[in-house]
Formats: sequence, C-alpha cells, structure tokens
Amino acid sequence: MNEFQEQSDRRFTDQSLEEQLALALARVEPSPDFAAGVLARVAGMGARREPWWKRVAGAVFAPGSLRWAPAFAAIVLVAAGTVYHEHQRVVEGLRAKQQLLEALRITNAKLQETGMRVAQVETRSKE
Amino acid sequence: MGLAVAACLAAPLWAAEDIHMPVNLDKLAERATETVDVTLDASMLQLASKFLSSQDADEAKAKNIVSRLRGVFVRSFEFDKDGQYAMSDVEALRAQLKSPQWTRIVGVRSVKGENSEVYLQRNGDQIEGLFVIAAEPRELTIVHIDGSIKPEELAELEGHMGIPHIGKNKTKGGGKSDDKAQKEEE
Repeated sequence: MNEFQEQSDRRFTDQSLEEQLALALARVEPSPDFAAGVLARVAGMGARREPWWKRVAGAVFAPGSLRWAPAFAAIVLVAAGTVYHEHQRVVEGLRAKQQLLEALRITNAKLQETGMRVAQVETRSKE
Repeated sequence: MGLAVAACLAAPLWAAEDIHMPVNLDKLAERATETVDVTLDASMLQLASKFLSSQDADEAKAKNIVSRLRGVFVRSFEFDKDGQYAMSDVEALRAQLKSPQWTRIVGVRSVKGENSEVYLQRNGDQIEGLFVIAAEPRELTIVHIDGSIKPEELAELEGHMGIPHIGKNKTKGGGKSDDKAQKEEE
C-alpha cells in the first residue's frame, strides 16, 4: 500500500514540473509597437550627443573638477612667467652686448686719438 | 650732512675700487646734444658674454677679453658749442686716480683744449684697470675698464664688430704749432 502511494505521488510531481517548465519557456510574441519604440529611443540618444568641446568643458568645469582650477591656473602662470623672463633675459643680454661693443669702440677710438697726439708731438720734436 | 649722504647715494658706483662718478658729471647730460652712458658690471658683462659667439673669430676675441673684466663704464658727452663743461668737472675723478694704485702713462695737453690722459692700474706686472679721460672743446669722454686688459687687445678688434679702423699713420702733416704737448711714459 505504501509503496503504491509513493509511486503515485512522484508521478504527479513530475507532471507538474513539466507543465511549469512548458509554461515558463513558452514563446511570447512582443507587442506590435516594441520595435518602433526601440528605434525611437536610439534615434533620440543620437540627437542628444554634444560636440567634443562641450563635453570636455563639461568635464573640466564639472562641480567635482573645479578643485583643480587653481592648480591649472598656477601652472599656466608659471609657464607664462618663465617664457616672459627668458625673453627679457635675451633682450637684456643683446642690449648688454651692444653696450659692450659701443664701449670697446669708444675706448679704442680714444686710445687711438691719444696715440696720434703723442705721435704728433714726437714728430714735431724731431723736426 | 643729509645732503652729503644723498649726494653719495646718488653717485653711481663705478667699480669696487671706490671710483665714483661725480654727480656734477651726470648733470652734463642735460647740456649735451649726444650722450653715451654705458655701465656694465660683472654680472652684465657675463650676460653680454653669453651672446658673443665662440665660433666667430672676432666675437671670440671679445669674449676672451670680457672674461677677464669686472666692469666697463663709459660716459661720453657731445656739445653743440664750446664751454659747456669745465675741467673742474672731471677733477673729482682725476683726484681718485692716485698712485701707487694708478699710474698716468700718457698725458697730452693742447692749447686748443684737446686733452687726453690714460691711466693704468697695476698689480705687479698685471694691468688691473684702464682709465681714459679725453677732453675736447665740444666733447668729453671718460672710460673706465675694470679688470685685466691690454690696450693692444682692443687694437686687435679694430675694424671688426663695429669698431672703426683708425689709421695709425694719420699724424704725418698734422703738425700743429700751437700744440703744447706733454707726454709721460714709464
């Protein structure tokens, strides 16, 4: 008796599981407007895409990114200052070179003039 | 007292050897039609030297000269008429060029008022400085080169780098009977 009852219960359970699986895996057709909805959504995403510079600016000036702004400004200022200082140094150096050549020219000219005057005196004293 | 301190501060330092430019000399610039004012201390000479090429023969010579200098100072005034300065204006400078540190190697005086003086600062056999005072009726030039320099080295640069070639044989026929010259050589 007991043996028969056990076999009957198992058959019932197996049938129920098969039915449940069949129900779960049954093919369901999408609604008629499903494809149109997906295509409309994809088209909408494409239309919202912004130019690269806007996206970069958005990333740089995003509230979280603004904390780097002082560091970025400092780097730009230091770089500009270095370039300006180097330019000034070149201008100053070229000016110093010109002044040096002018000084040497004047010195040489005055020494030559003095030498000529001495030579004049020597010539006259010989005469 | 305060005026004296102000005058001392206003007088630019010519060199470490305590040669100071008199304040009254700077005032000559107001009357001059042309002024040359060159003040190059050791750091400026070093900077100028960096812009002299070692590849160019003439610039390399100048670079070699400059490497031994501590300062180059020039004041030159040109006037449009006579009597715009007095020799007393340069007397303050001349008073600083005393022996034994400084030796006057050449002094030429003319009744026309063309006076030239060349002083050398010596340390043993080494020349440590050159001072030139060239005074003409309408021109006054003062040159101080602080450092080791030989006048012949400057002559080597003659005709190059904008330094004009001045003929050394121009003296012939230039006999001016009114010149009363005085020459002093060691």
